[in-house]
Amino acid sequence: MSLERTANPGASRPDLLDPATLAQLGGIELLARGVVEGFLMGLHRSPHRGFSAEFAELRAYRAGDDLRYIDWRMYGRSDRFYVKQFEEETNLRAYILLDVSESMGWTSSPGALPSKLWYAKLLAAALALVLLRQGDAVGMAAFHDRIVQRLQARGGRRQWHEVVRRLRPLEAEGGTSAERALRDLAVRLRRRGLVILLSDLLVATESTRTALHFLRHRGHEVLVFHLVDPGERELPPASEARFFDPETREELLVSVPAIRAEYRRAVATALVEWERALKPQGIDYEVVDTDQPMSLALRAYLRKRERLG
Amino acid sequence: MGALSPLFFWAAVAVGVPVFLHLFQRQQAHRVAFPALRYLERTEREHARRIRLQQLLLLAVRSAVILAVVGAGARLFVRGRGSAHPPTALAVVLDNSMSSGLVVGEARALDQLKRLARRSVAAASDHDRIWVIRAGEPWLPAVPGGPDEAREIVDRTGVSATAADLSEALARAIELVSSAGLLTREVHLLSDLQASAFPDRGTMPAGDVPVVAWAPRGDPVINHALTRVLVGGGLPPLAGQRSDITVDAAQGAPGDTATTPVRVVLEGRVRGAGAVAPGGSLTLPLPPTQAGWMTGYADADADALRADDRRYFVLRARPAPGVALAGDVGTFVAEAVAVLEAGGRLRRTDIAEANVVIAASGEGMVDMRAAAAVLLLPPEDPTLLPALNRRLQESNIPWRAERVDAEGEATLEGIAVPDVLDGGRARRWYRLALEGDPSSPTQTLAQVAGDPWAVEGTDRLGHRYLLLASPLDAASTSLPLSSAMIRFLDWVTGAWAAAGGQLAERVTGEPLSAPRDADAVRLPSGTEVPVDGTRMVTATGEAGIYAFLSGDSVVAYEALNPPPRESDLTKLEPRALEGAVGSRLTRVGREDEWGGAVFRARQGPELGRWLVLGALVLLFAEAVLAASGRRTRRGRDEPAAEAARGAR
Repeated sequence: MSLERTANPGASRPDLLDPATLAQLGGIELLARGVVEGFLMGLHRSPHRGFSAEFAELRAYRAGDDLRYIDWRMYGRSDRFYVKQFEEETNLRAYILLDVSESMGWTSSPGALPSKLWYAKLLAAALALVLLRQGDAVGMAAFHDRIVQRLQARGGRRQWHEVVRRLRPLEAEGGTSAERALRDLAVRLRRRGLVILLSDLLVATESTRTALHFLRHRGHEVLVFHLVDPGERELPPASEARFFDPETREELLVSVPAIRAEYRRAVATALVEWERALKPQGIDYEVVDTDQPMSLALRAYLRKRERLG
Repeated sequence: MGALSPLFFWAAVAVGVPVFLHLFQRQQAHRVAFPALRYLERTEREHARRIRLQQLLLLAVRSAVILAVVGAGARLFVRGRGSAHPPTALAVVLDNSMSSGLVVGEARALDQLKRLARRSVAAASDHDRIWVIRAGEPWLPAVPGGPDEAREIVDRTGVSATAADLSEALARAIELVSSAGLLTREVHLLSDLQASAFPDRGTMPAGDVPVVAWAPRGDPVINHALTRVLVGGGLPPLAGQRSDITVDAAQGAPGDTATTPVRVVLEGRVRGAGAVAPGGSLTLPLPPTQAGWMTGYADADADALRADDRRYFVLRARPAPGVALAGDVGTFVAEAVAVLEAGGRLRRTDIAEANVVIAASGEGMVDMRAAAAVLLLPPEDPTLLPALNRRLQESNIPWRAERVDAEGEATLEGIAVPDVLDGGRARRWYRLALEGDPSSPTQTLAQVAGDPWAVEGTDRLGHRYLLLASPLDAASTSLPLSSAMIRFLDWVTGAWAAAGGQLAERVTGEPLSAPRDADAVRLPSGTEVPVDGTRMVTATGEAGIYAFLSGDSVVAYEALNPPPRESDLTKLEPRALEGAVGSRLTRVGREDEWGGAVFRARQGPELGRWLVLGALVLLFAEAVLAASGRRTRRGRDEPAAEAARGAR
């Protein structure tokens, strides 16, 4: 099935498709472009559309719109009020940090639900495209115990292809040492910019938070996408199971029915703790469920981007 | 608590399944890759105690469910006063001995015991095995059966004239109920608890088998009983000679001095009457009779226990014994024999036909008939002693007579001195010495100055002998010159010689040996019973005259009377009852309490319904416990979930 030929109404808005369906439509490059274009198309109806010097499009006037942007010519021709919208101009340098540790390759429903890594790669490509279309420079780095892929931040249409090319071969492997990767990156980034972390945050919590604070302290804007598989929020239906961590190989024998509710609360609490630890430091934190459409994550980025001006 | 189907308890091993699963199966749980292990660890760490408690609760609930189902399957019941009981091997020991015929008030003791036995039977079920053991008729077989058969046996039971041995009856009951193969055993002891019925006190014959005993309280009963009837001092009377009969009365209660009127009836005619005090004796003369069998009884006035107020006897008047004199027995002996012959106390015969031979120096012993007895007199002349000793040796008599140099006069003495020799004196005697080991027991009847004077025994041919140490002349003893000489020779030819044929009193319950030519026995009730191949009559529970028949002719009679001890109605001391019965004794003193006291293993209502209900409740509890981890607790989960959503 290709993106162009699908009869599904959602196909015109790939950003609204659930990831399981989306994963069947094509490769990262195609999907990311479809997602971004669908997402941007939807933004025409968004009240949060930004303004800039370069004209982008017209839309119908609504109460509260700034009268300075009314297109009087269109009014003369159509007897209706339209306001002009402009693309923002920026020289933002964005760095996308992608966690490719082994835990990212896990999915709770193999064959039905894509892995966190697949989701993260697609989201990274989409974000890169959006950033590049806004005229920003985009760089990326993939890491597990160490940085395994790195691309300097640049602007331009070719950069996105480079990003996609670097993303495509990445596989989930190794443990996670987000702290080291973040600190390494903080040292390397001389200009302030936007750092976007895509990770399941199954990491050394305190040191990772410290590293993120460090980034923030160096003047970077930080946006954390916490990727969560729905199977991580809810234990599988089993009576007794021996769970093991594919990264650390640790095992734990659990009576699932006895612990299910407490586990659910523990996950929710852990997410809240991440938010409470990051938000006061000015770090945006967004939980992204890998069974949810990608537009939710993109909107989160957009909110962040609007605040950056 | 008890169970009707205890084999089902084997299913309780199923409890091991949840325990096994809890302890071991968890180790075999399947492995699941799960990156978010840290959240699990955190949850386990924070809730470990509650989780363990919940798992233990689950284990306990699951085990309890299995146990409840097992209990329902085993048909558990609460021991109590309900109407049902588990299948029980029951022995009803019904004491129908003579004392059970005691009439107290208007009721006979046995009727009350039978009424209680019927209550036991009525409380029994078709699943029980019941033996009715009639303690007064121990020769009767106890056949296991159901309530109907037991009731029939109880109805048929009458008062026996025998004494009961309750120790033996209890031991027999325990043996029977133990052989039934049923887990629950019980003995019901229905008796007047006579002390004499427990010869083996303190041995607890019932052991740990539950025994429910009828033990009412009551005042002691005064019983006037005849305990013995003796004709002719135990010897059959001589035909045509007068004899006598002695009737003994039982010891009365302390302070009881009331005499009991007694009549003696012989061949249907009253032959004498008198009165006897408690513990005393009454001797009445009997008129001369013809040779042959005669039956009779001594009868006292009826009291509360009728069965021991009459005692039966039989006698067979015998002809005068034949006596022969061998050798020179002396003038005094010859004259005394002549006097006795003239009085009809004996008759003179040849040695070969004599019942008693009076032999001087052992002469004529070789010619005696087999059943004859011999009075051996030593010679006056000591030079003839070797001849006596030689004949003693030939007859295998171990005594030898030796000359004694010392002379004097001494009184005959000794613990076995016959009355007729009491007060007699000896002036000259030989020393009787034992030589070698006697082949048969000997007894010294009288001594003089420490030496044996009169010894008795049996020679190699079975002849009874009485050997004196002095010849019966005036120079040797005081006997020839006194009236004791006649009485002594009458005693020798009568009582002593006939000692083997003394009349022995027989008691009921004692087996009777049928005479060789008898083919049937007529019981006191008039029932005629053929004599079987054992030649023994064991059904001797009736007191009275047993007649052995050969065709239509009576060949012998036997009189059976109740054992004298059965007339002693003294009850066993209550504190001694447990030792005489068993360790798990239950006493019942009131008749209306009997039905509720028997069947100690009786169950209340079965618990099956409650156990099943309990199992269902436990299953529900198990489901709630097990699902507690799956349920969504909106009140507790929502804040965190909301917070998590807010984090997006």
